[in-house]
Order: sequence, then C-alpha cells, then structure tokens
Amino acid sequence: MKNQTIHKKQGDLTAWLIVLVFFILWEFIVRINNTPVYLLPAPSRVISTMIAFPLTYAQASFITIGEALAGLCLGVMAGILIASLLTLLPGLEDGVMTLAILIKSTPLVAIAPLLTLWLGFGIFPKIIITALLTFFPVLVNILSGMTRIDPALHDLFRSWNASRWEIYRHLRLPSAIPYLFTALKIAAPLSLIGAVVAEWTGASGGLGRTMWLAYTNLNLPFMFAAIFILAAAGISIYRLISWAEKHFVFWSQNSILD
Amino acid sequence: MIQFSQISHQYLNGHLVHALEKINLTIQSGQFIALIGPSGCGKSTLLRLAANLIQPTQGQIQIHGESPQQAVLNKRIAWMAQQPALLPWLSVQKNIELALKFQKKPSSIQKQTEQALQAVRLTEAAHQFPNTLSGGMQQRLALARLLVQDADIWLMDEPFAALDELTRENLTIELYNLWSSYQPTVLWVTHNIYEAVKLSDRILVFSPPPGRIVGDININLSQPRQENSPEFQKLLNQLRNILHQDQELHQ
Repeated sequence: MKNQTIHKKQGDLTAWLIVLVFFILWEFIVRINNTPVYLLPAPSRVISTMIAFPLTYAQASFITIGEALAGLCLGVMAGILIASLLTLLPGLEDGVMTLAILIKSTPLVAIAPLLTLWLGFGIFPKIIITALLTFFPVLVNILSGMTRIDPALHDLFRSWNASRWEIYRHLRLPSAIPYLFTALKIAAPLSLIGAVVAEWTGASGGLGRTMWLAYTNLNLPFMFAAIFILAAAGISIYRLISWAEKHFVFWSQNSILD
Repeated sequence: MIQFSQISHQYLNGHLVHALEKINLTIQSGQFIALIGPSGCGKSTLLRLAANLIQPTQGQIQIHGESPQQAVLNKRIAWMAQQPALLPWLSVQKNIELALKFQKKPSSIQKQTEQALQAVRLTEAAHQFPNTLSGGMQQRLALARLLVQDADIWLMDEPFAALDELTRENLTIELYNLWSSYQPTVLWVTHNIYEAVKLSDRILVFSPPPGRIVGDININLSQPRQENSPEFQKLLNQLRNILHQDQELHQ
C-alpha cells in the first residue's frame, strides 16, 4: 500500500513535469521564432491575459462549468434511469438502445443550433446538449454493470426467492457503482466539450462565447486563456471523480486473500 | 425427506450435454449426505435442481412433499457455493442482516446476527468488509449466512474447494459441528473422498457423464471417526474401487 502511494506520487510528479517541460518548450519556441501573437501566443502572454481580466474569466467559467455540471447530472440521471428500466424490462433493450445510438450518432453541431433556435440563448439548451452528449457512456456502462453481475451472487439471491426488484435493488444497482465511476470519467470531460460547443452556436456568456468572440477578433491570448481554464477544469473534475471513486468503491481496491 | 424420481437433465453448451440420467433417490431428513464423482458428472446439477435454480428436463423432485419452487418459497432451502458470494459493499454484519431480511423475520435480526457470527467465530470482524477477510473467513461468513436462514436443507456445492488444505480441514470440522447442533439435511458436493468418509452418514457416488448413481454407501461408524481404523480404510478403498471401476468402464 505504501509502495503504491509512493508510485502514485512519482506518477503525478512525472505528469506535472511533462506539462511544465511542454510549456517551457512552447514559450522558448515562440520567443526564438518571434511567432506573431495572432498565430500562437506564448504561455506567459496567455497567463498575463487571464490575470488582467479575472472577473471576465471567473464569470465565464462559472457559467460554462455550471452548464457542464448540470448537463452531466441530467445525463447521468437519464443514463441510470434508462439502464434501470432496461434491466427490469429486458424486452425493451433492443428498441431503446437503437434510439440511444441514433441520438449518439447525430452530430452535436447539427443539434446545437437547432436547440438554440428553439430554446433561446440561455443556459437551458446548453444543459440539454451536454446531457445528450453524456448520457450514452453512462447508459452503456451502467447497463453493463447491472447485467454483468456475479453469477454466484445471482444464484444466492434466487435461492432466497428474491424478486426482480429485490435483485435490482440489493445486487444490480450496487454492482453498477464501479461502472458509474468509469462512465463519469468519460462523461465529465465530454460535458465541458458539450457546454462549449453549445455556447459557440449562440450564447450570452460562458467560456465558449468568450472563445468565439476572441476567435472572431483574432485575439488568441484571450482565446487560449479560456482553453487553459477549460483544461484545468477538466483535470480537476476528473481528479475529483477519481478521489470519490476510491472512497465509494473501496471494495474493488486491494483484497486480502489466503 | 427429499425425493428425486426419474430425474434426467440435459442442457446446451455448444453441444447437447447429458448431465444426469434417470436419478432415483430418497434422502431422509437430518442426514449428512456427500455427493462424490468425477468432474462434470452432474453432482452440482442435482443440487441446482433441488435449489430450483434450474428445472429438470425429465422427472420430479419432492422436498417434504413440495416442489423445489414451493420449498424455496417456504424458506426450506439454504444454498452455499464454492465462491463465498458475499456482497462486497456490505460489512460482515450487514451481509448476514440482508440474508435475514429475505427470511421475512425482521423481529430478532440483531440477536440472530450476533449468534451466527459467534457460531463461526467472526464476532470481532463484524464491522469489517469482505475484501479485508481471508478466504477462510469469507467462507465462515458464508456459513454464518447459511445458519441464519434457519432452513431444513443445506445445499452445499463444494463450499471449501477453493481453500488451502489446512483451512479446508478446519472448516469441514466446523461444518460438521454446526450440522450436529442444527441437524439439517445436508447435501454436500465434494471431491475429497477422505472428508466424505469422515463426516457423512451416506455417500452417493456418481458415474462420469451422463451422471448416474453407481454407489450408495451408508456409513455406520460412530463419530469422531478414526482415520487409521480398518473400517475407515475399508470404506475409503470401497469408494476408490467404485470410482476406478466406473471410470475404466467408461474409457
């Protein structure tokens, strides 16, 4: 256990070192080549832009991360509900999954402007788009978790004469928790992408809107600052999910066996 | 009493497998029965049929005059498999309590849980989670869960097969002691003829597939049985002869 912690810390340090080296190289190349700022700004320029407009970025981040998290919650709830329904009524699986794949395969850039047209420039269409993007990995993972249960445990519940609902409640639902965290690790970064893409198609605020405005004015430091914040938010949410996974799915960690 | 009448069972596993063929068997209440035989001879299938986990292709099973389905409904049967089948997200205590909830006797859950944990010497581990227990402790927990079900019939499918020899021997003795106290009917699938002779009242020997009963030995030796006694050795040899003769016949 102690060795694992040391290995993990070493891994984290290596990752941060790689990021640091990447930024140093970037800064170095931009300075050496005198790259124009409208093509590629140096990281130091991006960070100074961020520091110069703290309120603008704070407000935009609040809107986008809020939309992403709300959409993620909606997508997760929809995924869990549909997976539960398909587990309890397996006859519906083929029909519902076909519909889910249809939604998943429809390009987001095609739906987003339509939703903005129908529902306006507020946060509601952004939440819907993010939910549409995130519910599929949740649905597929949770459904796997609920159906791939330990056969020995299934036999045990059947020997107790447990009903389908009791098997769902006491066995299938808890068995799906590790799968939920796997799904969240995929869906959380997607939720940020969903919110930003939705804002690009028309919004009154948010990091996507900031990026779009910066892009149309060729203000690349302003645009890269938004990208940096999104990357940091993505990493933070992912880390938070990993931390929660360790605490809530403690049973799939190390076990002591004879 | 458990009665198997003309039980045959076939299933598809890429090809048609004839697991059991015309099994006729009567088991008296309170007996400790060992089922032995080569792999794939249908011992586990017979147990799964009795537990209503699968339905026979032919024949009928009566458990105290009821169908297996009715027996399961009336909580007459407790099932234990090779894997301890514990819920990893529940503590030792909660695993037992869940089994009790399914018995629909919510009144004395705490007391019964304590008694069962005491019986298998797991009181101190009550708040631990299964992944922190050793293989032997996990099976003891599965035994405690079996006890609280208060069933007349214990169907045990090689419950200690995955354990090391010493742990298995200790648990087999614990199982025998529990059987002596609770006096259920035990159908115990094992590969170990030595353990079968040491503990059972009766040993049923199965042929290679399709499984038929080729030996039915009542053991009248008193407990505790002396392994070095001539009678014990004679029974061991008798079992070995049945198993080898039948295997040669099939080859």
